[in-house]
Amino acid sequence: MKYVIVLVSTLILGLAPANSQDSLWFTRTGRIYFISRTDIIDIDANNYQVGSFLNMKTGEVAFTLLMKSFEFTLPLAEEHFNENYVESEKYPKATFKGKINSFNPSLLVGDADYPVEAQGDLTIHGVTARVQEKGILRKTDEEIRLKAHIEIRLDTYKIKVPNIVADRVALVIPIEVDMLYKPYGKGAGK
Amino acid sequence: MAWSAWLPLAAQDDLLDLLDKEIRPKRVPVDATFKSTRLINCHSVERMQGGDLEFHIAHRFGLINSGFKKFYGLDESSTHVSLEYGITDWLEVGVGRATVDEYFNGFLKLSPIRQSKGFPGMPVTVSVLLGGMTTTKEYPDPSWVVDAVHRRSFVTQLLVARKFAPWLSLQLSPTWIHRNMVSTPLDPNRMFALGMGGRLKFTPRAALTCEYFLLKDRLLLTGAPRFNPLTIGIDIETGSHVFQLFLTNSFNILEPGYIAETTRSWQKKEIHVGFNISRVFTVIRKKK
Repeated sequence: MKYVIVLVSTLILGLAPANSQDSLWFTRTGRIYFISRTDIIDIDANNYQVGSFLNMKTGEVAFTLLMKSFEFTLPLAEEHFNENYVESEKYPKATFKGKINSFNPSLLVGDADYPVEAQGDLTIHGVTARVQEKGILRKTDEEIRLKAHIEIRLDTYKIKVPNIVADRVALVIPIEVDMLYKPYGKGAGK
Repeated sequence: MAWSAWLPLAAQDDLLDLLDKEIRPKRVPVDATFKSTRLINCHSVERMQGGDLEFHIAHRFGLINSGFKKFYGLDESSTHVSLEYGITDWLEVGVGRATVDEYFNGFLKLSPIRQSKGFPGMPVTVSVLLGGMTTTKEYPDPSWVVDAVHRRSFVTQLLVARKFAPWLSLQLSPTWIHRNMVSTPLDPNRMFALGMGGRLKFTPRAALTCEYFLLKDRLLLTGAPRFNPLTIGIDIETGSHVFQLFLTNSFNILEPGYIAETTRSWQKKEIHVGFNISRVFTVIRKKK
């Protein structure tokens, strides 16, 4: 009898998180854009293949991208970025894992901006830093959009800029984040 | 059974793990096998990306052991200047001029195969170089009747390279040269040489490079004895410039010259200092 209870309760517990999958929203085509602005040259790139999850129950978020998927407007900059700055072969991915502070999904109502703040670990170039960033969530009928504008400092992530090109690479890089989530398992993913 | 139901869910607790599962690795081409479009003398598998234009200057000084009278070789020079343009990411055209024998040259470089990670992977990058050149030099004896066709030489190279690690790339370069005119009827017009070389990157912007050609039928060539060209150098990259500084026993810069006409020898300490400078300009920016 004891075994049956354990078995049944385990099954129920085991199944319970399965329902929480309904609260997962997903994209594999998120966009992240960055620009390094200096007086001499602007270097910018888009990554249209950012993968991300948003948990609408817990407010957890996760991002992953391949450094090599950044598309630069200057072809030579792409090679230098991967080869000399972020060392993409050694550190192929950048990730973020965090949680939206005091997340209340019921505040996310149709076609209105919901400002959020997330805290978590941002990993770039093999270096993980604790960050806190602001963003905006907006829900439409079938989609949730997350937009954020963040800034990173290259030295935080040990990305070195040699003196000889110091006037061509900005030390603080603004980044635009634009995710369009769909319910996980319905059209998005799986 | 209950446990088997638990396990995948436990694994999905971490959203990053779930992302790794959802975002499958795709094919990623390996970039920057070499810093420059040249290993040193020899073309590397690299070419300009679509829309980029390279201004390439190759320079060899005279012999180091030529003494103070010739300022250790710095008085003498052999140069080649060229413009090389990437039509697409896999097709480049170039035109140039060399001082030795006053050659104009042109070439096409194609890269049909690129080393890639992921699926489907590819272990090597393969480029093909097709080049032609014509000398504009006046022949010493005006009584020679020389058709324009005799002034031409050609080169075909298969460049096969692999970036084994960010710090190590190696290249094999089977090369066929064809010279329409040679010194005597005994000299072969068509010759084969196997080039080999590589780079050892010791900082993100500097690398040690080496290159050697084994010339088949080298001993059949008449006149001064020929030697296999050996070149050792360093690559220094500074933004959109690549600077290559090296020691070599070849004075010629174009393929038929440095492969079949190298008459100096390392053993006799007949060494030239040389450098290549490459400056890249982006002519057409890629669309955002």
